[in-house]
Amino acid sequence: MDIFDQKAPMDLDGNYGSTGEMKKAQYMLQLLGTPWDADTLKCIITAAEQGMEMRTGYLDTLNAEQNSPEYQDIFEFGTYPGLKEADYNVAGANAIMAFINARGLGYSLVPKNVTEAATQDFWVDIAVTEATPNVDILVQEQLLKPMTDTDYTANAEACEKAKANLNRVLDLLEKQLTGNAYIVNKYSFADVHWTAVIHLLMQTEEASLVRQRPQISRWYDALATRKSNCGQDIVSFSLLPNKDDIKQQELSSVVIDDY
Amino acid sequence: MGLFSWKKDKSSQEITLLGVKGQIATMKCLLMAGIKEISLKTTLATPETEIDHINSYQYIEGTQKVPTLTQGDFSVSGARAILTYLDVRGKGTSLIPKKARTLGLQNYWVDVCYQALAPATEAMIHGNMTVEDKIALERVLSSLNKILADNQFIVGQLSFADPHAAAYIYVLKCGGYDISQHPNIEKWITRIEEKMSGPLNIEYLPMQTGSSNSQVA
Repeated sequence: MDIFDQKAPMDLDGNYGSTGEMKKAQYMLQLLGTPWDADTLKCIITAAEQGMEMRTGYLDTLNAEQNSPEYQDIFEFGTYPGLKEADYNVAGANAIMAFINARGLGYSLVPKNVTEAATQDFWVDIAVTEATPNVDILVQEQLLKPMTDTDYTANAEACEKAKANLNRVLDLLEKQLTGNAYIVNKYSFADVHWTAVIHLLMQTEEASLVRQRPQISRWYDALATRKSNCGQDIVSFSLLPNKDDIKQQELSSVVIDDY
Repeated sequence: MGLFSWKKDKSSQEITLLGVKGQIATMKCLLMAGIKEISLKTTLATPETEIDHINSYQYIEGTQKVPTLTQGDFSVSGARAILTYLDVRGKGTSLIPKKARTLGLQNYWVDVCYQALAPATEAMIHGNMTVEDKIALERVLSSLNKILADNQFIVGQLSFADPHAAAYIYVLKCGGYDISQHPNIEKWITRIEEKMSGPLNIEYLPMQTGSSNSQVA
């Protein structure tokens, strides 16, 4: 039994494909990650959008479990989140999202038009390189460190700097969303990346950074009720962890009920 | 658009790249342009601006970003976006693998580049490489060397993983890092160069100001 089967066991009884009616048991996925990691959330959103059942398990990165021999036997550089599908393993949000997107049931989350695909990647880049590091600081200072040390006081200087950086990036996103339902025409990977980042930001004490921007607020609120593009009765947003889930170190699995 | 209306053919318009000499992200774009046989007019940004050599783009003077690609009225920034654009605009079939598992593997190696190769390479550029950086770098190089003993390219077929990873190898070599212990990597670089339409200008340090045409012919 590997670390996936220990932490994200596939209980096949009664679940999607378990009786072989759609021969989907082979497509059941197992994911290891953490609820405060934007990359983990992106993978869960993508699986829900593409109608792929996925069991999730908590990877204890607070105690550097990604560097454990058990995990690095599978992913030698400790890259996480990690995904398993039968005899296939892959790690990192970009790899997992692309894999699920290609395997899944819905339309591809990569735009077919070349300028839209490039524009999507531009916004993914900004989410990854500009927004995520600053949201991570706020999550660390305001959620995670107080979780392990109740007397901890957030580093005000680090938080202010992160907020200033986010203000600049969020202004760009606000402008991009003006007049657009989604970031680049149809719902795409750009929306998946930003949903994870904005959702984590909303769990911190700095939710006003989002709420003071009407276009981002409108887009974020609309996602809360948006059904997945695979046509199944699932809302990917509903699987995202709230503050209590983060404290409890709990991740939602993707369960398809209407197959 | 009407039946006889004229549609502007973007494919014949010149593609320009604003980059920074020696910047890894710029180098990834040049490699991809070479592989896809695209002629780029390259303009180099001034080094006075604070450029992070690792990040895929950086703001210049508050508005422009590098690397930035422009063709006609379309403009986009960042290696990730530019590589996507060049892949479609260039010659031959797409470098994106069709099989889901190979696609996942490709992106895994792109992530490894950003997460493991980039910090060590950045440390080398700035002359503050630690023992830990060197160990991390050697782990990645050894793994690549092992994979490339069996594979022609990182995931078997030529893919996005190759220009992403090769850019770091170029920078490491130009910075004087010895990769001779990883002969399969050297052979792989040769195979990539054989796929390119012309030589890559890999002059690296020091960064220079100015403009040059067609670093990749």
